[in-house]
Amino acid sequence: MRAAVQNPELRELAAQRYAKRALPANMQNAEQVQAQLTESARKSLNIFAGDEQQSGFVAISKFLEQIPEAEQGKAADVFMKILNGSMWDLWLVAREKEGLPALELDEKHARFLQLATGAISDAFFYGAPVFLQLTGFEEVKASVLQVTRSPGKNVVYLGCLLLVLGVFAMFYIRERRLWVWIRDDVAGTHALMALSSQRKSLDFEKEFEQLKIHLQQLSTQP
Amino acid sequence: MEITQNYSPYQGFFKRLSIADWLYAVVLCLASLFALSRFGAYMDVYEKGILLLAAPTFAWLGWHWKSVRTLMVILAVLSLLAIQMYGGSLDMANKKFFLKYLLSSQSAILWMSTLFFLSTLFYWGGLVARSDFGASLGSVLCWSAVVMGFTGMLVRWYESYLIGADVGHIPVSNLYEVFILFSMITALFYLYYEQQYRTRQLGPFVMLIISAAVGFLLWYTVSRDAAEIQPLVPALQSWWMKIHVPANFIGYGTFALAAMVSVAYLLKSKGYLVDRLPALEVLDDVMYKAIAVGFAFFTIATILGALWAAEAWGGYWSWDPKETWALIVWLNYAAWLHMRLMKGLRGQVAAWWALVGLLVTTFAFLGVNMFLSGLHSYGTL
Repeated sequence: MRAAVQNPELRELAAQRYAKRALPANMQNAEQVQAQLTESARKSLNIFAGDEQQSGFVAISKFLEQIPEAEQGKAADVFMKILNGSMWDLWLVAREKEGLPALELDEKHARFLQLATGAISDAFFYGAPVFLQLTGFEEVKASVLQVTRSPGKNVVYLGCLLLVLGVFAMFYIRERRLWVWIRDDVAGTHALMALSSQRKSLDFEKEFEQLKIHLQQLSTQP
Repeated sequence: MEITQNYSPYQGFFKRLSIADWLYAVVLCLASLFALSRFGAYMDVYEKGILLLAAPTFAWLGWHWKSVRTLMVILAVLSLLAIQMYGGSLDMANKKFFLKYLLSSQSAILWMSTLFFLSTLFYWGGLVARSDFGASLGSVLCWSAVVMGFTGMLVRWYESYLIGADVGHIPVSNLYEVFILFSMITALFYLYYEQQYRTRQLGPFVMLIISAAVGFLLWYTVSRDAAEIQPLVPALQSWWMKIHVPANFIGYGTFALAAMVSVAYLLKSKGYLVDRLPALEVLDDVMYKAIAVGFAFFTIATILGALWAAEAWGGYWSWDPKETWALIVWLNYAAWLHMRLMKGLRGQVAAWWALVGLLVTTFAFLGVNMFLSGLHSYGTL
C-alpha cells in the first residue's frame, strides 16, 4: 500500500475511480463535477504522498493552513473525506495490481485502512521504508577458552626491568665533571674551577656554589 | 669569611643519620619480623618477601625524607588503635565514640576532605595576606589531612576483611578509593617539595586541584553511594593490582602537581603575583622533578599493566581505550622530558605544555571511564 501511495500512476487511477464511485449516477452535469472531484482526489493523494520535505498528515495540515481560517474546519473535513475515500480506492487498485480479490467495504477493512493511513503518514518520520522488529531470539551459551604461550616471557621481563632501570638512571644519575686548575702566581696560588654536566638543572648550580665555597674554605686553611 | 658559615662539609649518607633514624629503622624491622612470625603461616612466599622488603624500603624513605618517620609512627598508632577498637566486629563502628566520629574509614575520609578544604583556605589566606602563619597553618592542616586519609584507607582495608574474608581487598579498586589515593599522593609530593625548596607559596595552587578532587569525591559519595565497600570483581582479584594502581596514581598525582606549578609559573611570568611566588627557576625545577618522578612511575605502572594483561587477558597490549590513552599520556610526557633534557626546553612553552598535559592525563583518568568503554571498565561514572 505504501508503494502504491508512492506510485503516481496508481494514484491517478485511484483518484478517477473514487470520483466515479462517490458521485450518484443520475446527477446533473456529472462530467464536470467528476472531473473536479478527480482533481481534488489526485491533489489530496499527491499531498499525502508528499515530497522530500514532508508528507502524510503533516503535509496536509501545512496545506490546509493556507486556506482562510474561517473555512479551515470545513475544508479539513471535506479534504479528509476525499482522502479516506481515495485511499480506499488506492488500496483496491493496489490489490488489483497484485492479483488479489477485491474487498467488501466493512467495519474491519475500514479500520485497517485508517490504521494503515496513519502508519504510512508516520513512516515518513522513521525515514526508512522498512521497520525491523525483533520478535524473539535464541540464546546460545558458550564458554571460550583462550590459550596463550609466550616462550619469550623471560626476555620480556628482562627488557622491562632494563627499561625501568634506564628511566631511573636517566633522571637520577647525573654525570658531572670537575676541573680545578692550580697554577703558581707571584702573589700566591691561583685556582680556576670548572664543572660540567650534560644537563642544566638547579641542583647543578647549587652544587657548583657549594664546591666553590668548599674550595675557598680549603684554600684559606693553613 | 661569612660565606663559610652556611657550608657544612659533605658527609656520607649513613654518617648523616641520627639516632632517631636508626631507632625508626629498627622498629620497622622488628615490626615486620613480628608480623612475619605471627601471621607468616597464612602468607605465601611473595607476601613474605614483600613484608620483609617493606621494612628497608620504608626505612630508606624515612631516612631520605624525615617527615615520613613521624607519619609512619602516627599512622601505625592510629590504625592499630582502630583495629583494636573494632575487635573483629564491624558493628563497633556505630558503638564506639572514636570509631564513629574519627577513625572508622568513612569518618576518617570525611575528616580528610574537611582538612584538605581548610588547608586550601589557609594557604590562599596566607598567599593573599602575605602571612607566613596562614601558610604554615595550611601546611599543618594538609599534613593532618594526609594522616586522616591514610588512616581511613588502612582502616578501610581492615573493614573490608571484616565484611567477609573473601570480600577483603586493598582499597584501590574503584573510583572512590583511587580519588582518595590521588589526593593523598598529590598532597604528599607537594609537601615533600614544600620542605625541599623551603617555600609554601605553591600550596594554594596545588591545593586547588586536591580540593577539586575531594569535591568530586564528596559528590560521588553522596550521589552514588560510592563509599560502600563492594566485593572485587574476579578480574581484579590479583596481586598485580596492589602495585599497578598505586604506581599509576603516583604518575597522575605528580603530573597534576606539575600542571598546578605550571599555572603558578605562567602567572608569574605574565607579571601576576610576582612578589608572592618563588623564583621562576625554582618553579621550573619543581615542575621538572615532579614530571620526572611521575614519568618513571607511570612507566612502571604501564609495564606492570602489560604484564598483568598478559596474565589475565592473554596478551600484553590489546589497544583497550585506557591503554591507548595511557600510551598517549606516556608519549606526551616522554616528549616533554626529551625536549627539556635534550633541547633545553624551558620557560612558558614548557609550562603551557605541562598544563595541557594535565588535560590529557585527566582524560585518561576520567574521560575514558565516562565516554569510552573497554576492558578497564571498573571505575565507571
